[in-house]
Amino acid sequence: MEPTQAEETRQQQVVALYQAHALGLVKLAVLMVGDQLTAEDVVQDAFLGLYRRWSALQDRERALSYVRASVLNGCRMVYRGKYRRGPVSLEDPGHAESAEAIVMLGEAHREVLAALRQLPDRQREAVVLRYYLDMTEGQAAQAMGVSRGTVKSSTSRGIAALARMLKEES
Amino acid sequence: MSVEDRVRAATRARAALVRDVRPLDLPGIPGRRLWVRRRVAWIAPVAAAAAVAALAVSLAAVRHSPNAPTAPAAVPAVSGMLPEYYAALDDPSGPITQIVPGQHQTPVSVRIGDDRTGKLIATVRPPDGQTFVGLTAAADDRTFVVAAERFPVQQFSPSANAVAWYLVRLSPGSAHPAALTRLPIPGEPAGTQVSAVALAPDGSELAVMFQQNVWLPRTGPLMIRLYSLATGTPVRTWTVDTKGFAAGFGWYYGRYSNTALTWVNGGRTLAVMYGINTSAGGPPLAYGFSHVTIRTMDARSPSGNLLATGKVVFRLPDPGYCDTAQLTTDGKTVLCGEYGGNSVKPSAAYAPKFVAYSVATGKSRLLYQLPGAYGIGLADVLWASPTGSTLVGSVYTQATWGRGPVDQTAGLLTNGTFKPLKFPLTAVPFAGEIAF
Repeated sequence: MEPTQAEETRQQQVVALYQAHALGLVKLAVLMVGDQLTAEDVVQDAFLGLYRRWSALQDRERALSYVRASVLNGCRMVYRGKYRRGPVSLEDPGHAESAEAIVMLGEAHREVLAALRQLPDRQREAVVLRYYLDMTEGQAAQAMGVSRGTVKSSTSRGIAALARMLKEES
Repeated sequence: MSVEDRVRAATRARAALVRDVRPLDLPGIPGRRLWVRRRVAWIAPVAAAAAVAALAVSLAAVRHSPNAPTAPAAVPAVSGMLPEYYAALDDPSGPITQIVPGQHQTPVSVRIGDDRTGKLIATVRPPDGQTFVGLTAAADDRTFVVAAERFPVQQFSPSANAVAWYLVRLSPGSAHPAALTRLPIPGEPAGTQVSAVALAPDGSELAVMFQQNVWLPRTGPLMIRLYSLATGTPVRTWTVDTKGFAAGFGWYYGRYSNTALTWVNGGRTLAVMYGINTSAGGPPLAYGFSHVTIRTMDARSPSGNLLATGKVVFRLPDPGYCDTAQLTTDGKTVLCGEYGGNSVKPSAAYAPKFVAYSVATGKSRLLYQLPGAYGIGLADVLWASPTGSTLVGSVYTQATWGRGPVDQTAGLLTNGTFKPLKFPLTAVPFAGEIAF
């Protein structure tokens, strides 16, 4: 059956949003889950969700916020083993990353990423949003769906935990 | 380095390795394949492109949101392949001189801008007693390394110009959009002059090309050294005796080249470009830069003789003059900004042009030539897409050599069309004065 005009427009709009932001969102998801295939799955599902809810989305300019929150939620599911596409080993990020990534990252970076993945969900999200995306506390709070105070304390605890882990490594 | 800085460096290095994502599979659009590829042309059907354009207005607020991830903008009408941010040298007292170094009246600042909106994001001034002289960018669109020398610059006295290295990190949309941090990388080895710089795509290492005694009749060896950004430690060093001639490019113009050294092949290979200039004591542009040679080498090769490391992949065919050249990151094309004109044999028959050479065959293809005829015409390659299908270049012309007004334009060159770009700078940037 041929898609209707409205259906086609919806597809085009979601595809356009994907073109503009998928790469950045996959990068974010890779930092959360460790490997690109899983990260792409998470981002695909987030956009699929957006596509299904597009008509109900009141404010289309908030589409990116919506899909970013979906990506963060999908990453949490991966960590909790609830992601529907099967479990991913997170204990050793070296297993999940490509050989190219392992070679190119260098040991110092790998240590940081491994430590990052040992943080609780909220601390990891807060640290990545604050220091990878350079979000303000308010922006990170909006993305995570928590208060600014929670972002502040999660970031602080996350950084302290990382400092401990990295010190132990060295 | 603080834990926060280590997190920034590690996350951005990891993210920089993600270059492509698979197409979006939506129900009802079987077979749609719209790959997302950073710095690569948007290969979308016309209809889809039109839809993207239509959506641009409604998504503008989202796209420019300060918390947006580092993804390409939805509708880059012209500049879609360009990284979003650039850093450029800017001399508030006037154009950075192109011919004779050491004539700055005020210290050179670094200006950070958004090339899609034309918006100036920040101006970074050098520390007291210093002036910025070079810059290079990582692949994450947020990280730059800039070099500073003592101000005023001691012309023809390389050992007096102690180089200091700084990290500039962008946080667009925040209260402090650009932060300047001193790096632990040491100054140049005694008696040498920096020619070229290139920051690795993941921001972990800085490649620097030095040459000894470039202003003296008997020039010393050329040296390429990799430094760890985290520790400042020299990681590897390769040298080559250039038989007394000055090689490289940057030293000649008073700012460091950021195209003569490039990281290709996903950051695994270093491309080294050098030309033999026989006119160190003579009039600028009278000769030289006619034997541009490019070598590629595994960046993990052990230290040693440059000639024993890697291989020559390209040599500019005679006759040919490359003012600036750049090997594309896919390793298949050399983009050359050619020049003409000299003070020995005045003419008014030159026009700057951009030429692409096939590395495999050596064959050239004219990409664009500025209309008109000039006493002198220069063309510089400032940035190139991975396949070379698009470049940012600048051209400089003067109707009569050494007399009358000069005209400078920077633009985006694609499919034979040179579309001018405007930067909020005192003057149009030349190679080494801007990094994307």
